[in-house]
Amino acid sequence: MHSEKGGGEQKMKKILVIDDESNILLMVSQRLKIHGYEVITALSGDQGLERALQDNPDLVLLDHVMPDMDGAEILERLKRERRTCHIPVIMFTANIKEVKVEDYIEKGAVDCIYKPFHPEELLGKIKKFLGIKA
Amino acid sequence: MKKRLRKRTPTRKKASGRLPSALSSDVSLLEQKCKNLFDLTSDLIQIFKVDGTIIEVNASWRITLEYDERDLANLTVYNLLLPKYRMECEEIFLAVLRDGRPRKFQGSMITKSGQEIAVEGTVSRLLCEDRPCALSAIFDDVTRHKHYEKLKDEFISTVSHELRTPLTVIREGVSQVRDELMGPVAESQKTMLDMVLQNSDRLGRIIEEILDVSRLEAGRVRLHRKLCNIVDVIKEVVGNFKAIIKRKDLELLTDFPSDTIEIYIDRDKIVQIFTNLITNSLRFTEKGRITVRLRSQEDFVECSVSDTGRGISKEDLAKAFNKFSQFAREIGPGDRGTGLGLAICKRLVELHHGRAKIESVPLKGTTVSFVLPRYTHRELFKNSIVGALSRCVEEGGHLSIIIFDVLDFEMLEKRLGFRQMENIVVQLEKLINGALRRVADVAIKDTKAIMVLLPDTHKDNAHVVMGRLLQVVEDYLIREKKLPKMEVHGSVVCYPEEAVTLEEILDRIYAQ
Repeated sequence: MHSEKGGGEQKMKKILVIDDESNILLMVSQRLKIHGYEVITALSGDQGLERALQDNPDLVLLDHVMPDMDGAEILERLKRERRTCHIPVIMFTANIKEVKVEDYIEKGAVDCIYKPFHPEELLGKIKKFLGIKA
Repeated sequence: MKKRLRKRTPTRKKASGRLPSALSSDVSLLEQKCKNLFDLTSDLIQIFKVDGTIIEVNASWRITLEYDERDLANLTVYNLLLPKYRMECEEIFLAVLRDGRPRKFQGSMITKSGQEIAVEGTVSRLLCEDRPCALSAIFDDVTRHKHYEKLKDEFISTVSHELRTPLTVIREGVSQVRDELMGPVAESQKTMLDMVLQNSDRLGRIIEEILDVSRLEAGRVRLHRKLCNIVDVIKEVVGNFKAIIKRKDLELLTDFPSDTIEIYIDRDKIVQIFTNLITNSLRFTEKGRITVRLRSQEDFVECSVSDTGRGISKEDLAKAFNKFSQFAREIGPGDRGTGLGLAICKRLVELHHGRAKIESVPLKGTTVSFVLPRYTHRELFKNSIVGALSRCVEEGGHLSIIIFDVLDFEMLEKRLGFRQMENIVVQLEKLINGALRRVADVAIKDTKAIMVLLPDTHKDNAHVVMGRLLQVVEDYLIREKKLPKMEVHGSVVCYPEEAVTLEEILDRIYAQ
C-alpha cells in the first residue's frame, strides 16, 4: 500500500466522515486511508458531533440526510460550537440540484460533493480545503 | 323586459318538443341551445368585468365552486383566487382587455367550503356592439391531474435519491479495484472494470436527466437571468470539448457576428443547452464538423448547433424532442445517450420564452436551432419582482429591493452624452452582480438606476447588503480614474413592511 499524498511526512491529517450508509463509510474511509489520511467515522448526527468534539478532525465530510437530524442542523451545531467552528465542512449529498450549495455555504460549509462521486473530485476538494483553516 | 319574457315563455315549450315556426322562436331556440351548452359543458365558465364583478357563471362553475346564484353578488373573481395568483391575474385581465388577444391562465381557486382547486384555461375579451365590455374565463378543473403530477414528481425525486446511494457504492467499489487499491489487476480485467465504470456513470446521468425533466415538467425550475455575453458562455462550453473533438478528429467551428452579444439569460441553463446539443452532435458525427452559430437580431438572438453527421430520418425527426426518443443507433457498444437531452433542451429554451426546432437530412447532418428573445431590463425586472413576490405571498416570506441611482444623472448625461452614461450604468450593474453572494439575488439596470432584488431578505439585512454594495461601488468609482466624478445613492423598499402590491412596489421604485 502506498501512503504518500494526503498526510505527507508531518502529522497525518484527520478526516471525520458522517454518513448513515455504512457501505459508503467503508468505501470512503478506505479510499482516504490509502491516500494517507487518518479517518474517523460516524453513523449518526449525534455520534458525528460527539466525535468532532472528541477527536478534533481537520476536516468533516457530512452527509446531507441523516436519520436523527438533517445535515443542515449538524452543520449549524458544528459552526456554533467554539471548539469545532474552525473545521472546514464539505457537504456530501445524493440530492443533486435539490440541495442548494449556496445555502450550505451561507451556513458555513466550504463546498459540496455529489454522490455518486469521482475519486479525483473527492480527493481534490479534500486536499484543497485542508489548506484552509477558517 | 316584458317583451322578452313573453318571447321566452313559449320557446321553452317548443324547445322540449315541437318544431319552431316563427323566426323569433328560432332566435329563442338558439338562445336556449346556447344556454344548454353553456350549462352542460364540463368546463367552468365565468363572465366578469375587469374590476372582478361576476356577470354570469355556468352550472359546472357553480357545482365545482359550490356557490349558488345568490352568492355571486358578494363575490369577485379576485377573491375567488388564491392570493398569490391575484396579481398575475389582474395583469392578464388588463392585457386581454387592452388588445383583445386571448391569454392562457393557470392558478388555483377556492371553493365556498375552502377547498383549493387547480384551474387552467383561457381568458378572452367579449364585445358588445364592437366595444369591449367584459371578459370570459373558460377553464378546466385540473386538481386531480395536478395531484397526480405532484405524486409522480415526489416519487421520481425519492427514487432518484434512493438509486444514487447504491450507485455510489458500486462505482466507488469498482473504482477501488480498478485503481489496484486492493492489489494488482490484469489488463483484461481492467478493460472490464472500465466498462462497468462507464456504465455506472451513464446510469448516473440518466438518473440526473430524469430528475431534470421531471422538475422542468413540474415547473420547479426557476431561471436566474442576468445580463451575460452569450459569446463568452459559448466559448467556454466549446472549450470543454477540445480534447474529445481532437480525439475524434473532427472540427468544432464557431460563427459569431461579433465578440459581444449581451442578453438576459440564465447562464447555467444556456451552458446546459449547448453542452447537450454538442454532445448529441458528437455522438452522431464520425467525420466533418460541428458548427455553433449565433445571430443577433433586434428582438432576439438566434442560436444553432449543426453537424455533418448521420442525420435523422423524417419519421424520427417528428419525435426528436420527445422524452426517451433515441434513433440512428448503431448496434454494439459505444457512447449512448439517455434520450432525454433534446427534451431537456427544448424545455430550457421554452423557460427562456424561446422556441426550438430541429432539421435534418439523413447522411448529411442535423441542425438544432432556437431563438432566445431579448428582454428589456424593465420587463426582466418586473417579471423578477412578480415571480419573487408571488413566492413571498405564497410562503409568507420577505422581499427587499435596493435601488441605486446615480446622483445628478441628467446633468452628467448632458456633459458626457447618452452612450457613455449608458456604458457606466452597464458597468455598475456588472460590478454589483459580481458582488452579490447568493444565486437568487440579481441586479438589473434601468436607464439611470440599478435595482437589486433580494428574495427572503429582511429590511435590516437589506441595509447591510446595501452598505456593502455601496462600498464596492465607491471603491470602483475611486479606482477608475477615467470616470467623471459621480455619486451613487442607495435606498431600500421592503415587502411586506412598506409595500404590499406589485403596483405599490413599482411606484416606490420608480419614484426614487
